[in-house]
Amino acid sequence: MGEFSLTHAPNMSNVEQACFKSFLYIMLQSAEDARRGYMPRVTTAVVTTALLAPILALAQTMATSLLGRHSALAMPPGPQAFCDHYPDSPHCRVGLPSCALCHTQTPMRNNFGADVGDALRETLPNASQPLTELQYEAALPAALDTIDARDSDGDGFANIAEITAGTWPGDCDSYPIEASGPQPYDRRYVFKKISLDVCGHSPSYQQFQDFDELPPMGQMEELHKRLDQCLDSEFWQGPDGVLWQLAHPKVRPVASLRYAGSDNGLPPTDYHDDYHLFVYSQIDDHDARDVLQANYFVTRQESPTRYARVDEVPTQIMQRERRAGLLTTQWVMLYNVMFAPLPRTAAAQAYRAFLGFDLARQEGLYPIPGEPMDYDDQGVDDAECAQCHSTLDPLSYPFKNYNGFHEPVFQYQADRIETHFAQEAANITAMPEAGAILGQPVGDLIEWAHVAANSDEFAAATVREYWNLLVGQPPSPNSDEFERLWRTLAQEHNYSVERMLHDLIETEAYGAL
Amino acid sequence: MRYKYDLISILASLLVLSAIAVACSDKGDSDLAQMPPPQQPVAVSPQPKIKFKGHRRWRNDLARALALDEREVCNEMGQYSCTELVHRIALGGSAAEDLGFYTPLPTSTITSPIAADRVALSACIKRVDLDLQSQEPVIFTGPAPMEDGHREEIIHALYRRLIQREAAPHEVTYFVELLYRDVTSLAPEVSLAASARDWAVLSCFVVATSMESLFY
Repeated sequence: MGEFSLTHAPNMSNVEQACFKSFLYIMLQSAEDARRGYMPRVTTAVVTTALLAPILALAQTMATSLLGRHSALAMPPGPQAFCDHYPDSPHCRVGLPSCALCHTQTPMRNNFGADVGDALRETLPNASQPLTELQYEAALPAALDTIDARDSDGDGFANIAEITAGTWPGDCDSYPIEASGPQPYDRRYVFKKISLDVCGHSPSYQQFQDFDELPPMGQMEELHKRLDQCLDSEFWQGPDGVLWQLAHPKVRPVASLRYAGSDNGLPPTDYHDDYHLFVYSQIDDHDARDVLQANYFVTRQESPTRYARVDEVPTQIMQRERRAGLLTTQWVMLYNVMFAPLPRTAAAQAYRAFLGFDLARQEGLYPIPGEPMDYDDQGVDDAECAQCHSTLDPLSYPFKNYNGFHEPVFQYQADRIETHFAQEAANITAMPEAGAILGQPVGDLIEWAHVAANSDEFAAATVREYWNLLVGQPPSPNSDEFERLWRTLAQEHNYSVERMLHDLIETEAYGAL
Repeated sequence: MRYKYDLISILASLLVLSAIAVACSDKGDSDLAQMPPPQQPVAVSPQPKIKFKGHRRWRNDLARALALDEREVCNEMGQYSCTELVHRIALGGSAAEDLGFYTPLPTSTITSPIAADRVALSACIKRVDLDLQSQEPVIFTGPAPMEDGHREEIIHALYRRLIQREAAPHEVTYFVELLYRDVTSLAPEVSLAASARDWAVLSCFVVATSMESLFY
């Protein structure tokens, strides 16, 4: 008989396809048997199948749960296993390390990842490849130990030295820098820096003279006083000031679209509402977590610039109980949700902007077993895509009921998928609103925002922005000062950025030449 | 960051070249060799992390130091702000709404030092010309041509205003004697008044584009 091929069976796994092909073959051959006067082999097949089916079904269920939907490239538990083995590594201080520790782009590995792979093969010489997740997790610690002393990237530092220092053992441009010991804090230097960083200009010659005449304690008081004055300046919080500049990558404004809604019969949209809320959350003693959790808005008066909290503004129509700070503004709905049934862009942008994780660089990957389900049939369950979409899709589900351009525009709609997208994919209406962020399940976007805002990652990302801005370079991986700042922001300062800045100006990183 | 070090090296090169060009005369070389060295050894910072002031901070400093309105500091073709518009990105700024530059460029550009020079030169020319026309000059005091006694005063004023410190004696010597002598002797057919004006502009320019003025 001729070969039978299944040209289109998108929902069948390989096992299912093989079984179906076998069944058809048996039926066709049985017909031939009957024609020749033999007992149809289908009878034998039915009996055999009846006996074997439960066993086969159990085997497939176990395989799926153990290996995941994509057994050929299972989502590795590497980052967590790495941190279990090296809990004190700076890579594990804030969440889990990025996949870039071992990979250039998954599944391709860098030199360190290649050495890990070789070590795993030596540890389990008889295991078939690829390893199962259980085998991988069990063998990884011993494999890592065997390459501790090796210098995988050839930068002159052993892998264990780089892991301990928080640099990247697979990147020859990343290596530990020898600590030079504590450096003297220069108050005069800090006086100049605060003026320039926050007020936007140098102190005058006379101001320096006055400062020099103060005793040391008086100079420290003057530094904090100066900071307080400058934090109220137009340069810091005014339109297009420092805080607005920090907001640009989060808001991503487009001048030509700023009032686009009003030109097309849509409710007017003004992304300055987003800037106002961001700046408000960063000034005075306000709670920085409101960038994700605020159910209010902020207006701005000019000359001088002052921000005020209000419950409603005419350019925002999201239902109050569905608001989540800068996740649900009209601009976000217009620009990041638009027409998408599953707003992956909105979720990824929020992940990057507020938690510092760029999924495109494989940062912040927390794969969820069984994902992606690819409800909207975009092919994201292909092996190459699933590496990231097993995190991104569950991250995006809580956004699914927030309308962009579908009616009711820019508002929450509980049956949004059923109303607007039911015909787009076979399984799309099964898409849940519950999702996951940082490995934690969440029921909706409000809960998503709460988990994100109260995470270590949010606190660290918030402080890192100001550290980069004021110190001038990222914190070193094992910087105790940096870690103290973000922990204190969360545990003592109730997420007040200004209080954190008063701590920051006293760090050696800021004040030592 | 690489941004800072690229700009430092380019500006340092420009400064050296300009110093050499100005001092290069039949008598200049031997005089330069006789200039006293810095009085204290320069300490090497173990973690150098100075920052370029950027388009707005530097403009603010120039405006305050040279007693100019911020909008007067530099305008291309007389109307387009050098620091807020034309050279904003080259001078370390972002341009989010119009161009989608949400963050400043991570490194300086080939035009960054050129832009910095233009801004400084524009501001210095403006101040010098205002003072020459004014009955109450702010920095460049004394009737034109700038008399001997006033040149030292002018240099001290420039240092205090632009980089908030006193000029060292050898720095004063350089500006007052060498630079002035060479500027005024380079083109004998130019009037002394014009040469003196050039000296004033160049002195202001040299201090305004020094590393102490551009970085912190």
